[in-house]
Amino acid sequence: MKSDPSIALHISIVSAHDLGLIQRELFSIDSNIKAHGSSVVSRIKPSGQLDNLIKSSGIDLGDDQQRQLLSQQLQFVRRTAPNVTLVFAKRPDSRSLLMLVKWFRENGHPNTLINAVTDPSVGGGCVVKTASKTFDFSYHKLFSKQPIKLTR
Amino acid sequence: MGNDFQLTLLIVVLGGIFSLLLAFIWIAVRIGPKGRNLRSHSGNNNELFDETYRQKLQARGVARFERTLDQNATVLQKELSNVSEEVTQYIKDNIGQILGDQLDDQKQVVRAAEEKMAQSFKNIDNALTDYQKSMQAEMHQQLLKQVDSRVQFLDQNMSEIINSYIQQTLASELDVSDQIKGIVANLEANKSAIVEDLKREV
Repeated sequence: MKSDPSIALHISIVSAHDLGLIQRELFSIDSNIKAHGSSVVSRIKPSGQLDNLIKSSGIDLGDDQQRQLLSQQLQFVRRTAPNVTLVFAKRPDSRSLLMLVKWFRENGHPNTLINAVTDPSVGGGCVVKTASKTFDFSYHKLFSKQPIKLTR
Repeated sequence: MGNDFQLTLLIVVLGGIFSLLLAFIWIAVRIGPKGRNLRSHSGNNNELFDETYRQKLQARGVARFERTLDQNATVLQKELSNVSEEVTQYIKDNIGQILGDQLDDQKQVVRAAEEKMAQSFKNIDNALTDYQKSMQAEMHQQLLKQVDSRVQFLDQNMSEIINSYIQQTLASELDVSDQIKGIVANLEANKSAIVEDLKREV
């Protein structure tokens, strides 16, 4: 793979939007520390996702270099990580979504970003859209492949 | 009958006029130039009838003429009243018959018109019944065609119908959590293609 997965995203960071939030939060923390000194580090309460990321990667927020590195790595991930769009009939619950994220990160790329959208016309199941392909696992496709015959 | 009466009247009038004419002619001959020529032809200075006698004759002729006129007028009047009585009686006797005959004719005409109308209505009724039967048969055919086409539509579009049913009635009931196993199974089945595409993107 061309990208260097030196940082693996935590399972709770699902989409590119989540990644963007993490990046903005990290930037905000960095600005705060630079403005007020490292004494504010103890008072910083990062969000759940950032906290999970810090714990999983073992980064010290109080260390400027590590914060800088984390920021660069997150930028790199954002630029290079594959994006997958999953289309559901209804908004999936977080547990189901995390199961799917886990599958993609274990079988595909460790930093796959999942974008979950809703489209009622799907009916049931889901549609997987990668960069160049679409995999239709919806009920609509399923029933059209196996037409049902009426009996008199 | 009207013609007979008129003819009778005409004959009576003509007879009266003819008799008057004869009377005039007789008088004219008696006191006219021919009568005078008879006397002058005798060559006698003493005339056959003197002036007084001629005047008497003239008066008698006039009186007789007037009497004849009166008699004829009386006869005419009598004839006229007889004829008018006969006509009145004839009308009285026969008017009922005449009117009855006329009414019978009118009744026959009305009856014929009624029969014709009844026949027309019957024809119209028959035509309407036939039309109704044909329309019923056609409607039955159309109905069967509609049923067949709708069943065919159902056959061809059952998946769409069921999908639509699922969308409309189960959309609020169907959770992704209920489907996650199936989705993951599909992902596993297409794993190589998905992963290959992800790698190509990276």
